[in-house]
Amino acid sequence: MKKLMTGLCLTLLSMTVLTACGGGQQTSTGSNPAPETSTEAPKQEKVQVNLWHAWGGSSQEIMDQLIENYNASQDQVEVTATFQGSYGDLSSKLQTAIAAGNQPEAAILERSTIINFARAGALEDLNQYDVDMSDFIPGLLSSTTYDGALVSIPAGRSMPILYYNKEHFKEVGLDPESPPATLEELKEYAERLTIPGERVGYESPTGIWNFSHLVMTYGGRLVNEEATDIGFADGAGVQALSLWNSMLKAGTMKAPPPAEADVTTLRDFVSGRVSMVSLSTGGLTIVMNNVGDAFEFGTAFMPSDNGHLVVPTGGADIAMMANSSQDKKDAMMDFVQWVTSTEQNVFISKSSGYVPTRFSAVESEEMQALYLENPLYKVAVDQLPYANDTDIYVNWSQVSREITQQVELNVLDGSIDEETAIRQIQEAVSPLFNP
Amino acid sequence: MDRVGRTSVQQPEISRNLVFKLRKHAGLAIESILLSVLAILFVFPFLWMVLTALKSPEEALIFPPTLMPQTWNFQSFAEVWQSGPFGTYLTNSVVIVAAILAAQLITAVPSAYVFAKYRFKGKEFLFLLVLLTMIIPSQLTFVPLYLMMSEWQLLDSLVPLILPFVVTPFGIFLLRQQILQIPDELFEAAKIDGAGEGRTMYHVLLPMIKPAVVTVMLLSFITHWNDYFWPLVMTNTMELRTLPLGVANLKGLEGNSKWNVVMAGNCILALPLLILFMLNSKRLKESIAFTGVK
Repeated sequence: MKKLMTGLCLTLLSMTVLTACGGGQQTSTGSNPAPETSTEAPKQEKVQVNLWHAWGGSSQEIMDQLIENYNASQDQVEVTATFQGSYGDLSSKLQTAIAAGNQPEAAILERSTIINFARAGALEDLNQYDVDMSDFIPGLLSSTTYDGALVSIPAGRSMPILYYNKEHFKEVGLDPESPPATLEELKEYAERLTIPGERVGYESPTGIWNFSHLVMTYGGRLVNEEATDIGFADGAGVQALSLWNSMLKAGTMKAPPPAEADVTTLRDFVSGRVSMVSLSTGGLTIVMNNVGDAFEFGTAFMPSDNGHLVVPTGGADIAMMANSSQDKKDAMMDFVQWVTSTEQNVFISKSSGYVPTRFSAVESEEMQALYLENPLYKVAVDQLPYANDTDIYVNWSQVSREITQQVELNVLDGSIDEETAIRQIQEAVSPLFNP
Repeated sequence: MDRVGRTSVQQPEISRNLVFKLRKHAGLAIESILLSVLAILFVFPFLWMVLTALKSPEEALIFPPTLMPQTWNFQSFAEVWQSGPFGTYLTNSVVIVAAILAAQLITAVPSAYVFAKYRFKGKEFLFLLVLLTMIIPSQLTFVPLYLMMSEWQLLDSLVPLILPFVVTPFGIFLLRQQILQIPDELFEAAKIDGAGEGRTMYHVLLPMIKPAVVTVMLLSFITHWNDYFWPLVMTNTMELRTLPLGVANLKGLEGNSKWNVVMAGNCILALPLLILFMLNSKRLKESIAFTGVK
């Protein structure tokens, strides 16, 4: 009986596995493309390298296009790109794969997760290769270095910008060509734009991204320079929370539910229920598509604190894994250089709404023509000099979770005041900074 | 006296009957209203999913949201299908789940039978071990399992998606509870009639625990059909991936998702589950009513 059972079990398993393997169709992202049969060098085969990424949906199409173009552009290297879920999924999976020695040659990692891989020694120091970083916009580079090593190169990066409804501005007698430049103005404009029960002047997600814009603009940092504590305990944090709270209490600001913050904010803006929102540059195309001819809108810098402005960035860098053979690394490096080149940088920026990461890309004819045709895109580029990230810290994911939680308790729940929120953040994160 | 007494009693009897009837009807009415509300609560998310799938990407975002699509857009399903090798995802999902269910059935019924009806030294301890595996979270086991599969060079196949799940401790537990309720005499009778263990299991035991078996299989189906993380960790090529991964792939970055397409993907994912549930709802109810396990 037992034998019969095991036998049956094994047959079933092997049968299913066999049929499944036979049934797989070859796609553009296939694992075993046909070997190159070049007439000049018959022995030469393309070096196979793997790239992991988290670009789903419309970003997946951009990625597929990039890979296809690269593989067709030369006959030395064949890159296979694999979608690995969200940036969080990708990070967990990569950690596991590195432990087993099954890692890909490169991965496009969310910028704040890079430092963890760098500290573990999993990332290749790109300084060994012929990489020139002087063309890259300095504000986007804080995630790319670790302990003197160049561990990543910006791939697709975004920033928050202010979107505003010009029709609403005209309605209340505001100049549609002069959006709020300072946080004081933002507050004042929001008050004028609000019609109780009908629309709200300003909406902003209250997650870590928008919180960091306020904190940094008020002169603080998320993590201090020495990486020993949070960098907003002495005033900037309280100031940031107070601004949100005063606007929320006055009913001139709406805070979307945290779980669906981006999509709620976007939806409220395109349906005219709020007049100003802060959203990612990556959302510009979708806002344009959804607003259509319904109303005219503009984009602007994030508001400053009397001229002082610091804007966080988002998105991902491409990083190479240290633990592969040198010829694979050389092959992958060729792709890394190609995909971060000015030309591809322009392509990614134009098709995705990510900001260009190179000065030469910003100055390129193609981008300049685009900005002339559609000035809405230009705002993000002009805002680039104000970019900075102050969240590069090994325990960042835990620290940011604590901050977000206390901010929510204070802003959305109202159950604790600003000082208590900041104090509780400090208490909660201090063991994370001094393990 | 008799007559007077009768009439005086009859009067309230009629009204009492009426009250009773009314009460019964009112009770029924309240019951059906409550059940309808509950039904709407449960059905609405599914309805919303289907209706959103049929909207245009713009309409899926507007506020106030529309219930019925203004223009019926069946394009989203085509877009899902073209977004990747969805036929392959579907085949993989079916193959993996079928293999897991078959293997679980083969392992769970005999083990449950043994744990329920056999007497041997260390049985309680072994059963405790089986139960223990249920309380270890998968987050704890996926790294060592991955390393194991990697060492056995099984990673680029469907084996790691099936092998770790061929035994279901929960199934063994549930079936054992069911078998415990069956009197020993039945099995003894079968033995006296000359049936071996295999025949007893197949002809006597299985028909009696059928509802429980269906429940176990259905729950297991849901778990593995919807499983996202495990297939994601274990596979690197599209040819080996399953439906939930294909659906996750539909979501864009930074809020840039076409929600109608994402919902169309979810429709494709949820349809087999719904069909199976409808076909087996009676058995499901039976087994829950009998065991008291919820």
